[in-house]
Amino acid sequence: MQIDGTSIEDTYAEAFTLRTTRLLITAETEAWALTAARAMTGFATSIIACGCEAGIEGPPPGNTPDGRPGVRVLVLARSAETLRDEVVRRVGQCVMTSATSACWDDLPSEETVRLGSLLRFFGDGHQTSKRLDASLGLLAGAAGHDAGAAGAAGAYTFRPRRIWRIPVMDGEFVVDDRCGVVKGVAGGNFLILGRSPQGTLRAALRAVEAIRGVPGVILPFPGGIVRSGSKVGSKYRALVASTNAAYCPTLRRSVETALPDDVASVLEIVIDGLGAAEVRAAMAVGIRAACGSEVVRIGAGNYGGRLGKHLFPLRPLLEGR
Amino acid sequence: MTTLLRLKAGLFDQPIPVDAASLSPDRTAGLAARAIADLPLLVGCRTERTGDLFDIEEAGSEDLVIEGDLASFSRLGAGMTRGRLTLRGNAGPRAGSGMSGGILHIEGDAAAHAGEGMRGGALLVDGSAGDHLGAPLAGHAHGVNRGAILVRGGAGAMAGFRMRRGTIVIAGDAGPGAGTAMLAGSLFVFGSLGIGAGALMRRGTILTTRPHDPASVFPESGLSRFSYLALYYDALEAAGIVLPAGARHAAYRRHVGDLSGAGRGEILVMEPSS
Repeated sequence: MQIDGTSIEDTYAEAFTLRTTRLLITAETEAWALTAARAMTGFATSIIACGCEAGIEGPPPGNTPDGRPGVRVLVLARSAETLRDEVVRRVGQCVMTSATSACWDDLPSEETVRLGSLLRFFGDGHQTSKRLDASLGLLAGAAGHDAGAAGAAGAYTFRPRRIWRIPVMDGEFVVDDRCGVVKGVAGGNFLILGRSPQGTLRAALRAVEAIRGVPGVILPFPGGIVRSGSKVGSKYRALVASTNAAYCPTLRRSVETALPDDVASVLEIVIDGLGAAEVRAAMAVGIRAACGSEVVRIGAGNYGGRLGKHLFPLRPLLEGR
Repeated sequence: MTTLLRLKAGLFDQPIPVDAASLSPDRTAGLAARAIADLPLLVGCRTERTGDLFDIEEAGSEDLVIEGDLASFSRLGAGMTRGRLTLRGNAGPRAGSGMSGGILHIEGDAAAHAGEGMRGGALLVDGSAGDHLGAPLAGHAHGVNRGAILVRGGAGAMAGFRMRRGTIVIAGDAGPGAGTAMLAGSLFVFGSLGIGAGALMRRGTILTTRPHDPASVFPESGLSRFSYLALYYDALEAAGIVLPAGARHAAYRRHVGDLSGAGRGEILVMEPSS
């Protein structure tokens, strides 16, 4: 299979399940919302050593609970407990500290973890809560109006929630009591095997830009690109992962390589998402954008089905199957 | 399909108090017209059949519509847990007393003690409400404890007295003593707020969009914008309330109190110039 002169390898990407939450960070300006989101999602590239994977999701939402500009972030971790710890630490240290910010749960779900109900203690007894229960939504029904038509921006849907108002030095930090958790998918990926380092980077950047328009996914690595792809295990007992030697151009004559002779550089795009469908869509969009004369081949990372239960074969994915 | 009860004309020479607690979807849902007609109503000191007072059309639905002026009927929809009750007329005292679910929509006025002791559900009054809106049931410590009340007109004295949770919105004026001894919850008044608002309140929020000078036990803590108010305003706009001009984006003067008690409540007064 070829796309724009690039060969699509007959292989599959292997991904695994992580507990996932989605938060919406709002602030007076989009720039400040982005500042808080970037701080919160820092050092969250891989659960191998970061505790969680996190990133900024897609385009900014049109509507937010408080009507201010907002940015969505996804956070993924091995268990709900780890996710709670990571989210509480990151929101507490990076969002609450960011000027004018507020933090909202953006993933209605039956399974939830504590957020504001733990952060509230920073208020030292001066914190207050507000509970917007379902009865408030009933009023809209009683009046015969569509709750979905509420809000200045026109499409915000009422949902019951409990919020905490924590007094801070520029006013109040508002945060949802709990945040929803779903089983997300982490580790969706593809490899860009390019003729030159510069051309490979250009192709990767095209893929990143295209994937950023897909809702429900994040690219947790710096700039959305991984240059140090890993394999499971190491010759050193203390390490759970080590460099993917088969894809390192400089090891071509030292190890059994996976690289054709005309490949000078490999970059990996790793995609996490709310579900397999989102990851699949992002992979397809990203691969199509990456293909071109500078790219010899598109491959994918897998571990023979040992790592996770989500398998994304490249060719069927691109054929829409 | 709805269950329709139409009050018969010329029943009483003079108003007689009627206990209408049996007029709620909980009691009428699933019943045939004849069974609804047999439901008892306490009229004065006599027990009468519902069918003696109302013509009954259709039946069986959780959506109950009553037509007529029920100003002398107390406890309409008392204890409701589900369904929808619409009254095309005025309601007497204690409408929606102790309701915990469903929607009670009064298209006219509601007399005193409407929504007393509510524990859930929604009470919507298109006209005005009397005194003690959402106050405690007799002998109980707490007023509204979850649930939402929306009054499109004004309300009498002591609205939200000893309110524990939930939301009360009064689009018109509120009489004296609104939010007295509030324990928590939110009371929004888009008309003028009467004197003595929030006296002895422990926690909770009273908000007004008109100029208001709280009692001295509510010192001002400054002018701020409260982003969380947008959540309430969205829900209220969906309920068809036209927000006062500028309310959504305005700054509010925050008065904390009542400092003669626990002092953790707040009265927010909209700053028009902001």
